[in-house]
This record gives sequence, C-alpha cells and structure tokens, in this order.
Amino acid sequence: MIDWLIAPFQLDFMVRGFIVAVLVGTLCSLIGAFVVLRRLAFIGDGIAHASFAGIVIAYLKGANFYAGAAVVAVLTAIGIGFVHRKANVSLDTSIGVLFTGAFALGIFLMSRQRSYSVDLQDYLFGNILGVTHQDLMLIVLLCAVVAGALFFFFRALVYTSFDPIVAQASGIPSGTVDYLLLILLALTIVVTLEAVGIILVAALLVTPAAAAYQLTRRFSVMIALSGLLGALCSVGGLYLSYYLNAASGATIVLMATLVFFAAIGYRRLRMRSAR
Amino acid sequence: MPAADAVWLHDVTVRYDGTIGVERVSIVLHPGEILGIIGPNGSGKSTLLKTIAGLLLPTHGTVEVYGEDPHRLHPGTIAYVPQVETVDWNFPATVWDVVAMARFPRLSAFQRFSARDKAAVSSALAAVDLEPLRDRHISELSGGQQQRAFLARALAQEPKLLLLDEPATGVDASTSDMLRSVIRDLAKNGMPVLVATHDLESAEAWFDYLLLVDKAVVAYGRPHEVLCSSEFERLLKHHHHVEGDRI
Repeated sequence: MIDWLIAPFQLDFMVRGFIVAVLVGTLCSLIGAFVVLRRLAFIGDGIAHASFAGIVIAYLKGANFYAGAAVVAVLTAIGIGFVHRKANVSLDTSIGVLFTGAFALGIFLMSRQRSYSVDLQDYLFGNILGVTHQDLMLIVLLCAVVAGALFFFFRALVYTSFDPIVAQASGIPSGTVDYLLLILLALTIVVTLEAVGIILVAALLVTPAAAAYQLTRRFSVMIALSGLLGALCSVGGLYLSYYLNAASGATIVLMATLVFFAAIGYRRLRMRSAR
Repeated sequence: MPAADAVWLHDVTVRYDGTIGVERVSIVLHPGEILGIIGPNGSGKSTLLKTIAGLLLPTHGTVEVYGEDPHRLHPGTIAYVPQVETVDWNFPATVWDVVAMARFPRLSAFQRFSARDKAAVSSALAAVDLEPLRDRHISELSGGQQQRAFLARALAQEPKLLLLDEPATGVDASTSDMLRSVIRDLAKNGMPVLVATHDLESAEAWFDYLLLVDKAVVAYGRPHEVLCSSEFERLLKHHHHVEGDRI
C-alpha cells in the first residue's frame, strides 16, 4: 500500500502535479462554494472559455500563457458584470454573449495560423503533469493572492451572498464585492486551467461545493468542507489517472462527480433514518 | 439642518429604469419617532426606504442621515429590514448565523467575533423570542419567524436608524403585536423608525406620524389626521377598484 502511494512521487513532474492538484483543488472549491451559493456556475464556465482567447493571443505574441489568460479572463469577468448592470441585459444572456464571443476570437486567431502547437490542446483538456517549475511558482503565487483575498473579504462575501441588499444598506459595498468575486474567480480559473482544462474547470468550481452543500447546513462548514473535498478529489483523481493511465483532468472531475452523488445518497439515507 | 434630525430629505426625486419612483419628497424624522409611509402599490414607499438606506441614488434633491450622505455613514448605522421573500431561505445558515451577519459590517478581517458580538446576537434573539430556535436551520422557520429573525438581525446590528419594508405583511397577529412592541421600545430609547406599510387598521397603534405618498407626498401628520384627510379620501376612492379598501 505504502509503495502504491509513494511510487508516483519518484517522478519530478508527478510531485509538481500533486502540489498543483492540492492547491487548485482546494482553491477552486473554496471559491466554488460562493459560486454555488450565488448560482454563478454558468459564469465559471464562461470565464474559462473566454480565457482561451487570452491563451491564443499570448501564444501568438510569445508571451506567458497565464498572463494572457488572466488578462482576458479578468476583462471578461468585469465585462459580464458591466454589461449586466449597465445595459439592462440579464446575467445569463450577458455571460452567453461575452464568453462565446471571446472563445470564438480564440478559435478565429488560432485557425489563421498555418500550424499550431499541440500545447494549446493542453489548455482545452488540461495537462497537470506538464506543469513546469516556473508555472508552479506562478500557480503558488496566484493561489496565495486569491486565498488571502478570500480570507480578507470572507464576511463581506458571505453576507452579500445571502442578502446583498441588507448588506449594502448596513455599509458593505455589495457591487464592489461582486466585482471582486468575479476577479478572484477569473484568477482561480486561470490557475486551474492547466490542471483540468477549459472544458472541465467549471466542474471543479461547482461539484465539490455542491457536494458540501448536501452535507451541511452552515455556510462556514460548507466552505471548509468544499475545500477539503476539492483537495481530496484532485489528489485521488491524480492517483487514479496515474495507475489507470487516463487523462488526469477528466479523472479528477469524475472523482468529484462520484463524491457529489455519494453526498446526495448519504443525505437521503440520513433523512430517511431521521424520519 | 439642525443636528437633531435623524433623517432629512429635501426635494428628493428618484428615477430609475426611465420611470419616476418618487417625486419632490421632503421628510424630516427625529430620533424616537416612528413614521409610517402609506400609499397605493407602486406609489414609491419602498423607493423612499431604499433611497434613505443609500441603495438608490436620488436623481435630484438631498438625502441626509444624521447630517451625512447615507454612503458616508459608519458601517452599521442603518438597519434595513426587507420583505422576507427577498432572500433564499435554503441558504446554509442557522437562525444564529443569519442574526450574527449583522455584526459583519463593523468587523475587520482580523477581528474575531467577540463576546460582545455574541452578546448582541443573543439579546437580539431574546428580544423577538427566537432564542430557543437559534440552532434551527432558516428553512424550517414559519413566515412570522422569518420576519422575527430579520428584525433580530437589525437589532443585533445596533443601528441608529431602523427602516422596515412591510413588516406586518403575511405574519400572524401575535408576531405583528410582538414586532410592534419591540419597535415601540426601541423608539422609546431614541431610535428613529421608518415603516413602509399598507396595514391601515393598526396605524394609530404603530405610528407617531403618517406620510401618505403617491409618487409625491399627498398628506403628512398624526395618523388620525392623515386617515381623516380629504386627500386620503380622494386617493382611497381613486384606488378602490384596484385594491379594495386598502391603499
């Protein structure tokens, strides 16, 4: 058993992979708790897709992929909030328009290249084992920034998630907190891209948090549990993918999906026995 | 304005989404006074409350709370009690959790939830008889209990101005009586209170003054004066076909 657990760590890229898995799994699921409480799942998906344009632009310009993705993701997040508030367009429409537009821009730019590196595919489907030492440093830094901001604004985020109107009347700037959450969400998505890829990142945001929501009735417990489940699913999924020789991002997400259904089952059992 | 005014609105007009919410309204409210705002549906009662709470910006005119722009007040100064259906009661929180949120605006990130904060939450729960339900999930509350939880949250905030939007709507008579006596006690200790309502039957028991609005101010005075005024009669007749005998 011990051998089974240690074996992957003899490879440098696996070690980096596990560090990234724990970091992004925890961070995604912590912020994912707010995504679920505020019903923002669609935004997460949208920002992830939009960031593809940033990755392609960065690729064409020879710039850092994370920087490109971060800029476009944050701009899209702010744009979604802005169009929704100022143009009297419903939030889901605003997301639908902006994220498909940005994603299309990425495909448009990519299609004009005669040949493009398969690297870009890594961002669609994720390649947690392809994380370089430099990437890792950047991921650690971004995780620290987002986690720090989540801690610092924790109470404001909770209050505005439950009752934005009363929170604002009592002196918490709800609008600013909304934008802050969108920006943190954009940064989180960018650090998660290489782990699970654009198409699956929304799962890591939503699924562990949705599972935690089934298991508790207090927000503080839900947020902590969500982070824990996210980390466990990421590490567990990475182990499985190593031994089953499967795509890491997909295995991580499948693991989270299983946990979600297990949580639903557990809750139903508990409710039945309580009756 | 004299410093003693808790709320001072001068010639306030609020427009949003291209329509007029309220037009050229002036109000003065002193500490310890309970003012009821009545008027037909869509007459701007909620708009007025939200403008005073700083949730809506006046298009024209001046809003001051204790001599300040509502946005410049210390966090926690204004407690707003909305109608209970404005939030998702499946949010993962107990009654205690929701009331404790009232302390958040005045706590910085590094400040712990102190014994002082806990005491404020406890006494707010006790004031509305929710202490026995403090660990219950909020989805398990009745409508009246939800309204009491919202009032407890406002009390725990220890505000200097209390705004309530239709507090007696959809609650049982005993809850309504309790809300009234809690609010009366607060006013006795100097709290200024503004209540938007369409419950006219108990207006004299609830309010020191009544403000009748229909976009603009139609009448203002002691409850019996307003309810006996010709302006009230006219508005009542005009809206009779819409809302029966209520406005």
